[in-house]
Amino acid sequence: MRDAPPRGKDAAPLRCGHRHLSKPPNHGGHVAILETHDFGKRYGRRRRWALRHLDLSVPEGSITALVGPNGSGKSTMLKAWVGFEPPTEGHLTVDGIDPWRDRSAALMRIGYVPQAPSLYRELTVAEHVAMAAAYRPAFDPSVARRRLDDLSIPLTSRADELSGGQQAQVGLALALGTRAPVLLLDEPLASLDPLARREFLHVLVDAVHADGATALLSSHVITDIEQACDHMLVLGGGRMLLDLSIAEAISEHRVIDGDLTAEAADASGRAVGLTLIGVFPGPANERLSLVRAAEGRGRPATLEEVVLGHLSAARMPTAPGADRERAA
Amino acid sequence: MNLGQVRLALRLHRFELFAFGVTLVGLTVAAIVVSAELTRLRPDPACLAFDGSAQSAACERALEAFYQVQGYGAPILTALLFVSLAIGIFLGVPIVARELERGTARLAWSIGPSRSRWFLANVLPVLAIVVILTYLAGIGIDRYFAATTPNEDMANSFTGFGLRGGLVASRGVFIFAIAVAVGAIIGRSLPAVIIAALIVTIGLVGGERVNQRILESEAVVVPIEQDTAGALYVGQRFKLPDGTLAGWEYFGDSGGYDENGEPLYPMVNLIVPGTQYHLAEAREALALAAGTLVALLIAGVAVTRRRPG
Repeated sequence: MRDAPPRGKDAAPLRCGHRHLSKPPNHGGHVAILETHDFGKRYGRRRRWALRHLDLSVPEGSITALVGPNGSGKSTMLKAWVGFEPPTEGHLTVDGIDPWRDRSAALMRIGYVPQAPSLYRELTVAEHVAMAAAYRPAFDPSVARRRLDDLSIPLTSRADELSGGQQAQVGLALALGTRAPVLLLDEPLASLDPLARREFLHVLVDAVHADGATALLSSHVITDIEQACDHMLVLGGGRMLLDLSIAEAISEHRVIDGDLTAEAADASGRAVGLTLIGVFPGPANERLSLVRAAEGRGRPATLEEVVLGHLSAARMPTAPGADRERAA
Repeated sequence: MNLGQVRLALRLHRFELFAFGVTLVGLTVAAIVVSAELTRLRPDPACLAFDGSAQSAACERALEAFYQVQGYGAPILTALLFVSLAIGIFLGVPIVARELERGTARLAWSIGPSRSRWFLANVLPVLAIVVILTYLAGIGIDRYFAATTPNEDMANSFTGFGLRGGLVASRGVFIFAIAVAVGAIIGRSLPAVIIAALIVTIGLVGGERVNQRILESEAVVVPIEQDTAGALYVGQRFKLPDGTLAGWEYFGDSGGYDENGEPLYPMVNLIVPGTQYHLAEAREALALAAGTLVALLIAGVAVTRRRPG
């Protein structure tokens, strides 16, 4: 089994949140701690592919958001890294280890927070911590207990007496107690109210800062992602649509009122450097076009608009802009 | 496996353990109390050896009191037998199936790097409880049979074969292992309980038939007058002049009797002597232990390979 990578102050410096986004991380310059290579997953031989031909890497020390609509394969992706789902084709690695070949070694590098709260309702919070310590030699109960104390979550409470937000926090505390270099969080915010989401993300960001870990967080709450993450992967239609830092995603896209499909298809569109990504409905159901451009027409795109534009492109595979973007 | 893991495993199943523990211990105690009372009321052997002639008033009183208590004991024995079988299913199925159903397997299997260790730490403590409880039930049933058949040496008797003594524990553990495996494969408690019950029924009935065939092959011929108390009765045959044995069907319509209803040839009994009881018991226990190991192995493989839901 390989040794765990250096932690804490010996680990790579962490760039996280907007405070550090003036210079976006150079993806290519980072060591990738989570990778997939031509990864494909299909449930049953006759079913459609959930994911296919996926090549992605998550930079070490980042908080990366995995974004996509329901059924886009976010959970499948995370479960594959945890060793819960075997790839149908290709392979994937956690810190260089294929979880399907050496699940134990891969798991020792992962702290996982499942999609739904997966706590034992018969056990108290303290018993959950004891259980984790009993089953994982490297688990540090003091880390988990400190996090729970900070949030005033009583250790003597049974799991079924906790609110959804508290249960999610217990899940996160257990994952942090593993002191694993990689945290995989499968839509932990989905069932939380805005305040609980904010608290959860604060704990996550602080912990990742303190430990120098890498976090991959699947979610479709874009505002939360913008607060906490520095990198974003967008999945749609079973493939990767976008792999950028949050700063790049915002600075490289603009929104123009109206449907620019026809204009973008025209030769004049290309002449002015207009690359249409996708057309999506605005708040008043007006048509908005997302284009890849640093400046020029329209206004800067929000992160939500960037995601919407790319997802709409994935739903309209014949859109000329989408084709060009994909080809590029 | 450490003490913390054992404590947590037992805590996770504390409701079933408590319910079945109290029920089985209660029934066992009741069976032992009834057995003690039956022993105290045991009638004179002459009263029990009823030959059709009129009984003395003392015998009739003694027998009435004895059979009255035996009547109280019968439902206890039935319940003890049923619960000693059911405990395996109801404690075995949830060990993996409930974890999959409730999604807790996702937490447990992502925190602990070894699913095999998790499996053993969850199965072995409950298995130990099943062994203890079913063994106690076996002792209770043993006592009851001994009290109701006072003229037999239970250590050398096929009376209640397979339903008493150590075989109750062997059978309980076998059922438990099947239930764990079915729960691990199916991943849902209720269907797993039903399917495990079906498999166990088929397995036990099939095993019983195989065991019966083996025992029949080991039967010995004894004169019909010989006392066969404690022996396993296999059948009755006619002994032909050349020494071969023949059943009624051999003689066609006459059935082997003359016009006066007397047998054409001397009749003999086929029995497995009670002295063979320990051998038969050990053989069945060994077969059940092998089945238990196979089932637990299948369950372990299912746990290490399956998705956590």
